[in-house]
Amino acid sequence: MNKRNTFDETASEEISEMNAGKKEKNKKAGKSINIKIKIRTIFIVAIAVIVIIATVIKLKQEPKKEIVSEASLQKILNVGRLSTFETTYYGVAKVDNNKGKIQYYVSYEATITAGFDFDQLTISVNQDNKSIVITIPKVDIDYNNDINVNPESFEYLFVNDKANDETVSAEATKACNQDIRYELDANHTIVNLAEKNSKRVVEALIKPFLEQLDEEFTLEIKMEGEQ
Amino acid sequence: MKKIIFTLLICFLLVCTACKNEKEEPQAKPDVVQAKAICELATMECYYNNVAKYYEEDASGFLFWEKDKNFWIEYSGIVTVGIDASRLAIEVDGTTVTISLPPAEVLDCAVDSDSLTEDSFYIADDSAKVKAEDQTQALQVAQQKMREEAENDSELLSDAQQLAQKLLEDYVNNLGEAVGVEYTIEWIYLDANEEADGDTIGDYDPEK
Repeated sequence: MNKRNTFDETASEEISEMNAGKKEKNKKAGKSINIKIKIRTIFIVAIAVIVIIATVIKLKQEPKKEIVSEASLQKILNVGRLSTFETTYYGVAKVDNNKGKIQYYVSYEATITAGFDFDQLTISVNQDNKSIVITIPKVDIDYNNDINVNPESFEYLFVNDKANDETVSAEATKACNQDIRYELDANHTIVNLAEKNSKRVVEALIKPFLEQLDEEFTLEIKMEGEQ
Repeated sequence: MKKIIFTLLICFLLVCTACKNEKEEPQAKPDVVQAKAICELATMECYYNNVAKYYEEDASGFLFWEKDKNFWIEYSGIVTVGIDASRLAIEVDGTTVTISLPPAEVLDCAVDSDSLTEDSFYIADDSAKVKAEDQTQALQVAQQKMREEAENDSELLSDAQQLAQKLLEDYVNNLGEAVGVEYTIEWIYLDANEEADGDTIGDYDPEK
């Protein structure tokens, strides 16, 4: 009987020891789960922070799209036919004889084309001080191709009626062609006005664009050789 | 867990806001003030060298000794042609831009008095004597004639209108391209005295 009691006591002690061990194990397991969750949270937050920082850095490093640049202005200034101006010129040429005495006057009509070579136009954009300088090449008139005297427009005023013979038309054509070239050499108004018109066209193309998209930019338009 | 989701959501929103702010571009659209400024700049100053011809039959003398008065005056001046910007109208409806464009006209006309010298007068040999009053009258005629010539110079006026139209078209298209909008332009060609609400809509052909 005593032996049995002793056995029972021993068994219950063992059971209680086992229970205590299990509790201990459970405690340890719970602690380890909490640590894992914390580590996972820290890990996810750390990744999120890294992603944000990387995204912001990347966005800042990406070159900002420049609306105003030499390339964009070049495209806008692709004016082509707007770079030429045509004017009709009505003039009077004198025809002398070989002694220098005036024989007659001939009035004529001619068309003159003045323009600049668009490929020679230069654009300089300074992004730091927000300034644009556009230099227009000199307007020029090609005497061989840009002047067209219309012989059908000829009208005569004779000083010497005897000069009215079959040579008149040929003489008059030569005199008119010489006269207009002489006038263009002596009078630069046509070229000056063509330059003024060119400047206005360039300004009309660029200025509204700048004022609406980046008004901080200043615009200077000048002719080649102009300070 | 909820905290994690909340934190991630905040992070996501922050990233989205950052992206939005960086990519934001100015939203400009065609503006009537700018369009009018373009029209003012589109005026063309043209040099006009012209010849006024004066002829008066039987201006002096008697019977068989009557003489005609026959002389020319060569003069020059500057004619300004362009669009009356105050009549221009522009309306933006979504991506459709309607521009009411008045015709080009002579805005200014002035004879250069310095261009008139003794050498500007060409008198026929058999002409009756040209007096000072004839010359004054001829000059007045010249001034008037220069304006008339310019007003009747359809090529000059057409060039001026096409210049204004091309510049306005470029303005709308360039602006659209810069802000990523493809605009369609509808042109209303106004008559000389028509107001901006005219109804003549035409397609612009830059090659015309």
